Amino acid sequence: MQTGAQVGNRPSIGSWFSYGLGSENKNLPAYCVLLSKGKGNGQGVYSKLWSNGFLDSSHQGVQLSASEDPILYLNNPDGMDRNMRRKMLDHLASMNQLGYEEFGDPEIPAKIKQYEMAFRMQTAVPEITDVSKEPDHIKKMYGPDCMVPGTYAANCLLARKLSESGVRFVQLYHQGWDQHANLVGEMTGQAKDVDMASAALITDLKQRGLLDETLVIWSGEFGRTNYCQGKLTKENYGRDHHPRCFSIFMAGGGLKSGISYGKTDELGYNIIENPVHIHDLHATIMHLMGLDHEKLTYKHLGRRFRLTDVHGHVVKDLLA
Amino acid sequence: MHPLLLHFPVAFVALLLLLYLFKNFLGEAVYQKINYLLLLLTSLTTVLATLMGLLLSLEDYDSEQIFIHKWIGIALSFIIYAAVLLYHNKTFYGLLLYLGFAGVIVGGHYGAALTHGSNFLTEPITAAKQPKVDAHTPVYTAYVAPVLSAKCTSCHNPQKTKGALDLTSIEGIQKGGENGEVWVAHRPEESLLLQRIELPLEHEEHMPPEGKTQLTEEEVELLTEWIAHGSDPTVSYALLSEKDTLKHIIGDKWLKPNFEQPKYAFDFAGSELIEKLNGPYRTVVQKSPDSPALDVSIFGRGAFKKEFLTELSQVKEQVVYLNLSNLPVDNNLLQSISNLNNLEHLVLNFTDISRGSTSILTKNEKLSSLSLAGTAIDFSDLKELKQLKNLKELFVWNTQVSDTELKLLQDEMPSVSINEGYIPNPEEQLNLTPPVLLGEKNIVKTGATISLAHKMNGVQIRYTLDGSEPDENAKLYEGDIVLDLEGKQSKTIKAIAYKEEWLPSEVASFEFFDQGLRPEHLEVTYPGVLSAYTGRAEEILNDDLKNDANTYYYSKHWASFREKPLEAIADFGNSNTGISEIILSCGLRPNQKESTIDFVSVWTSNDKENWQLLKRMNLTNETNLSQLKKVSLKFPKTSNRYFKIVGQPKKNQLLRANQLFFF
Repeated sequence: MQTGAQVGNRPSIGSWFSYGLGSENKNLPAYCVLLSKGKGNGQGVYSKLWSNGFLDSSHQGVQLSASEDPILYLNNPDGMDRNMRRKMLDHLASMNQLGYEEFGDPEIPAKIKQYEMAFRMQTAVPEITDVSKEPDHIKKMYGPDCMVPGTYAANCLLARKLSESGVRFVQLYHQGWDQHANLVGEMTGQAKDVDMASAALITDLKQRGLLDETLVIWSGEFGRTNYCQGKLTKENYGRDHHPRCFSIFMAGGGLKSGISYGKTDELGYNIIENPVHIHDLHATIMHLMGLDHEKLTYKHLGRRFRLTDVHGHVVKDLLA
Repeated sequence: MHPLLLHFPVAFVALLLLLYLFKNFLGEAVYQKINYLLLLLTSLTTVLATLMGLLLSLEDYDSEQIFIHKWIGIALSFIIYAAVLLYHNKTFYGLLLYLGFAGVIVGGHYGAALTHGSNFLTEPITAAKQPKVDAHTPVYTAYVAPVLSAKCTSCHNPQKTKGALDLTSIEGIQKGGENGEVWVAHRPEESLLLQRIELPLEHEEHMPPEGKTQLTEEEVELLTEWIAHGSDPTVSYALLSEKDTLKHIIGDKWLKPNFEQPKYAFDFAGSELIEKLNGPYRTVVQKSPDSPALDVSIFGRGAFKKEFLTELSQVKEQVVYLNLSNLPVDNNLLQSISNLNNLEHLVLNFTDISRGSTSILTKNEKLSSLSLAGTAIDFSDLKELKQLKNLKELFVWNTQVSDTELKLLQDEMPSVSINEGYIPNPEEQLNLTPPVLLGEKNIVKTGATISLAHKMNGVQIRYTLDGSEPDENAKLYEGDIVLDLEGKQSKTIKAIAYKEEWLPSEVASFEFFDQGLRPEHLEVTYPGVLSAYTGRAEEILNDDLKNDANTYYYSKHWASFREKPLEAIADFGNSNTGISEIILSCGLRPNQKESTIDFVSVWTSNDKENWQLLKRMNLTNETNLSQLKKVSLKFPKTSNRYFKIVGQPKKNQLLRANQLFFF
């Protein structure tokens, strides 16, 4: 789902977009990752999910943390103010420049640029992560949880702010969907976590006129069986993994709205109509973002790699 | 056969005429040879084509056109025959040849009109002038008739009514053909039209006949749904209800917006200029490599300079999209984008523009999309926008404009889609989140200040200190609470949040623990285990944070021990005023079934060498597991310098400790 491949060391989809589209706002990373967790069972996510694989490490997803410092190590250390930091960077740059004039290593100017970007991020990031200026009724729309850092609702609000500020690809992970048991209570909680805020994100983009230039995808990475795992009682049962079919939803730019695509048999076991392979989905997403999935390649280990590997069709029926 | 053969005489007669005109050029002998052979061939094919034509005309052709075509064809046969007979009379031959050629042209024209429709000559020109289709055009005229005319009417027209059927007009369709009605309203499966279309291609009665252009799946689907809906020739897209499949088919497949990339008359800005305009806070990019149009976004309220906007005059023709969200752009600055002639899409959400801003924007005549969410504009501003003739969408969420004003505006600007965004339902009330504790310390002493907070503005926090549930009459939180433990080992603050138009929060409960006596130094003999363990048991056992025994049992705030015991030596220096109780606070996994601790013992000493046992508690068979979360060892008051606490985990069990208290 993330990389279009089952083997490791492949770039995740967000990294491909960072590589293909570049950064719109040069003061922020092109690919941001936000994590939240339901009260359900605690299966973790790993930073390999937003890895840049063999692409340049600047395309790696940057995880924003829910703590006081959304981006770690960005703040000036205690006792150093912004002016001092500015002076330090200026002197550092002039020394680096001397080094460059002597050795001509192209990595040196790149490094100077990176320092400058980090300096600009010091003001750009707090501007974006500050939600206190959001109007009150927005908080009602996303649900009261949106003021509690680290919740899915707060991340949705933050995602809107990031997207509004030119971050190309924002990925939210909400954990705790693996209900092999205890589905009854836990699923209620999971749904409650995501329901209002997901709808609010789309509404919020729309009311700002941003939905036609944004694509919102809501998806898991596999389905669950339609039959029970463990003992079936009214109060408690579970559902096992089911990889043969599952549903996702998409909203926003370039998509036909109000349709469903594809069908399963009446048991929800197999696909009987319009299956969409993961490469097809990736190809379609890339198409919507203005990229040709067959042309965006990166040469590594002697061959040109694509997100969609050697296969994949844009699902034209989904396009507006 | 006739459609195949007729092309021979057409070409041959024309060739004969050409030969006749160029005979001097060829020389007499060559001319004679070719010409005579060709003439014979022409006469043969002309007669054959005419005969075949006569046979074909026995089928359902019945009009003035066929009459003229037939007689011209017959006349042509005789003319060519006469030309063969009078071959040697040069004057007559020439005359007959001209006559024959004229016959071919006129006869051919009528023949073509029969097959391709009487407007076949002008069709490519008139087709371009098709009437504009909108939501109010009848579905029949807009979508059904074009399918019939593309695939059916070349044979079923008033001139060439094959099967006595004319599909060019709704009257003709309703009349039906020799096999009956064309379609039965609401019953596609009984409709002859669809039955014929759906027969296998090689079937004799399949329509259109094999060899002609077939209907596409989408066209068949459209006809089916059209008939299923009742084949009402007046119904239009706008009249169809949302539930109708027909509406969706038209919406999806037929009412396609024009997707061609817009063509711009202006030139490319040039990559050097674009590169120059790009900076850390301003992004300028071409819409696509082959489009000269530019998208511009400016970021960062704190870093904004007005030059970011004024410099855009260098690309004033090319900028079509401009995003200024959240920037301190006011009416004055807005003037500087008036010269962006081709600006189509402008985003001004949450900028500092105010009343009067929109009259500035009316100079950007090409504007089609305008976002004004979260700005200080009002109704009179929006009315100014009527002057923007190209405006298609307008976003006015979170502005001063009221519902009724928006309705008025919508009536005045019917072609603009106005999005007012999310409007909270006053009926819908949501629970606030509980208040939070600032800082995570919960081990304190009397006199400590406790700060509570709520992220939402205007929230009232009410709290109790006696463990009772707080309500709207409880004490209002107005600043730090100074905690008085009243000599107890712990105290609970319960807090609740209130705000108008919101339901109260759940009650948050914060428990604070008396820190008791603190050793000057704490050392731990054996290192702990577990991956999350930070190797700092000394700190964990003696810090200001006691974890909830039921959660975070795997986090870095627990020191865990397996096999080797927890052995902690506390050094009180000379300050010990007497200790009579030591509490070891432990954690348990959920679903823990048996005791995790073998025993806990406390020793004391003044020289760290001769230890005296104060108390030993055996917990191996402890069945009340909650006892394990707070292991309290009481003993006669002792003022010694050193205390040693030994906690032995049971075999194959983990002892998880997170704090030591001395009272």
